[in-house]
Amino acid sequence: MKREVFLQKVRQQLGRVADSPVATPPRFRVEARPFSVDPDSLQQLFLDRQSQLDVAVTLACSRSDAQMAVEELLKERKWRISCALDVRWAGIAGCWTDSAAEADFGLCVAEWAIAETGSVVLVLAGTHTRGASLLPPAVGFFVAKSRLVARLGDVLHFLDADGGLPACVTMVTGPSASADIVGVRTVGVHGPSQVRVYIIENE
Amino acid sequence: MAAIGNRTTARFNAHAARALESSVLQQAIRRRQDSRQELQTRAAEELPDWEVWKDSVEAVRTHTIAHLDHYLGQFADAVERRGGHVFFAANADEAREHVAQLAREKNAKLIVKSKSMLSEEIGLNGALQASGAEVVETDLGEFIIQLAHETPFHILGPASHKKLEEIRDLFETLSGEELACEPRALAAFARQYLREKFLAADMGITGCNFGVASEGSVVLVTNEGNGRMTSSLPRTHVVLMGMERLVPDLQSLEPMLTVLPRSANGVRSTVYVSIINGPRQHGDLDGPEDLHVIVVDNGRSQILGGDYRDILNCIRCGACLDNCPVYRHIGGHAYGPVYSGPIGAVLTPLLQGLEAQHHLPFACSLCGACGDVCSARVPLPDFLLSLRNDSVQKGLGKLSWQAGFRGFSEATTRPRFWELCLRSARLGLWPWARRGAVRNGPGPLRGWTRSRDLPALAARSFRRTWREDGDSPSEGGS
Repeated sequence: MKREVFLQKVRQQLGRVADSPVATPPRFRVEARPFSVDPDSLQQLFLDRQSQLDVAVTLACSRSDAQMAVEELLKERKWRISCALDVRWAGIAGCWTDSAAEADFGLCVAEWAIAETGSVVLVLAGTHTRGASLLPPAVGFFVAKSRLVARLGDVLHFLDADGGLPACVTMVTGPSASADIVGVRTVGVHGPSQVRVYIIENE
Repeated sequence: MAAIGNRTTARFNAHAARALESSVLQQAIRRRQDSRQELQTRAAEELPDWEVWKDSVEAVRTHTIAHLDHYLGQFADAVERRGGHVFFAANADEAREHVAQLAREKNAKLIVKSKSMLSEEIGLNGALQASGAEVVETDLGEFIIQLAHETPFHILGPASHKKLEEIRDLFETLSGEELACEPRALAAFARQYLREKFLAADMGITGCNFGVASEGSVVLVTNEGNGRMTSSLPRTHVVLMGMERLVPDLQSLEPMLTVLPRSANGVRSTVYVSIINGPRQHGDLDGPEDLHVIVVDNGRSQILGGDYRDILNCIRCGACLDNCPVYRHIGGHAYGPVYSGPIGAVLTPLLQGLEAQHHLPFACSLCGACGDVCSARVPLPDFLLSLRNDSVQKGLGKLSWQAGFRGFSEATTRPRFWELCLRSARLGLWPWARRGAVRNGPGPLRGWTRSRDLPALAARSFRRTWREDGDSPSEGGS
């Protein structure tokens, strides 16, 4: 069906003959939060949420400390790694594979982390591939402590202000999960069953 | 149309009776409802100003629907600006045919799908299979019912009625191997089987929880990751979007994504929330090359111009199903193949015509629970009552039912005749009255008294008592 015919039908049902100006959408910014928003409190809340989600968290002082922690993990588990990082992060020693589908571990840099929900936010564009955070059975996210925000609305505000959205923004909250078989929660149904977060203090 | 109405009513009665008689189904429904109610309550209590968040959902949805023409135009422009394509489908036929045409053009032999109630509504799978493509449902629940050749039992838990052994048997038939009768083992088999499908698929079809008009974004809210796989791995991504799914801008998403996961699953956030903004951009190493959004009307514009417009505010959280006492007893299949529970009892007659589905608004005890828990404050109980009224005004339903009410109306407006009726009934029902209640009553009373008590008529009517003792003070009365 032609777009204009479709829209005209909708207009008629709404009692209009032409598109008319629209007021600003309603905003109900709810300010009350049940937690403090200073960086340490947000970090503690985020850690609590990760613990409830069965996510392992490593607190690293610097980017190189986080990289070392990943290297140790890869060595200990004998995991192949695939990465969704830009070139700044390419110095990690390990057994690399270009195919995320064949990797045991995917590593990604999160743009933000949301304390209230325990989510990490991935801006997926360029070398930050979708596959690295999705296809391996285990995944790790680097996130700077300075990028911890209180709640989802803060991220949406940043995305809105930035303009020029990437092809995909994804928020990840814990391991892939389903309760579709007799209501029993199982993890790793399609996406990773193991999630690790590396919080970097001085980034 | 009357014949269709009779068929759907008979189908409803048959499914409802089957569910009521099955202890396995009763157990499955209760398990889901009890666990969801507990989780939903806890999640809502944790959030200060829960009711304000719901007010916000209602306000944003009402605003969007009131300016839907504007936002649809804005959305289509933004999708196309980002390199995607938009097709407006007036009805199910147009939507099905367009997707089938896309599949032919892209030479798509294998199509993976993530859960989309709209695709169920338009009967998409059959059309794609007829064009020669293999269509694989990838949501674990949808995958199970596709193997079982069934329809969803719940809009969020399509296979919530299936027993573990049944699922094991379905998977064993598919794999040709013996599988452990254990949820984790069965989920692991599904992961392995479906992973191969994801990696080989030519086309992925998803629904759309929300479309962001200002950005042309498609928002997918999932837990398993199949939505991400379906929208990321195949070279063509097709999105089916009901035309009412829009929100104006990114900031309007906050109340939706705050309320939806808490009302649906009792969690703070689903595992994955993806905001998809067109096909892969220059320099992106993965993502689909093509993005097609099919905006579907299929009866929605008719609702837009009527008294039931607010039903389009629904965000498909499924909380009304999880709190409905009628759904608790009859399950999802009685409502028909797509939308079940209170939302189905309102939406299905509006989309398909009251003539064909006039029985659905009567599948309700008018307890009001659905209205209390609704994320978008859709007045479901009012709509159910109003649809019943429409049904009566149009003279739908059984002739015996209409004749019965006409007779009741005549009798109650003629005092002497009413008195005579009561006396006759008292006498006539005497053989079935035991300990103050009529059980297994005769004729038209059978349907009611088979499973419920009908209080027997008192030996002396209220009118007679009033006439004879009206002036005497009552003992202990108020």
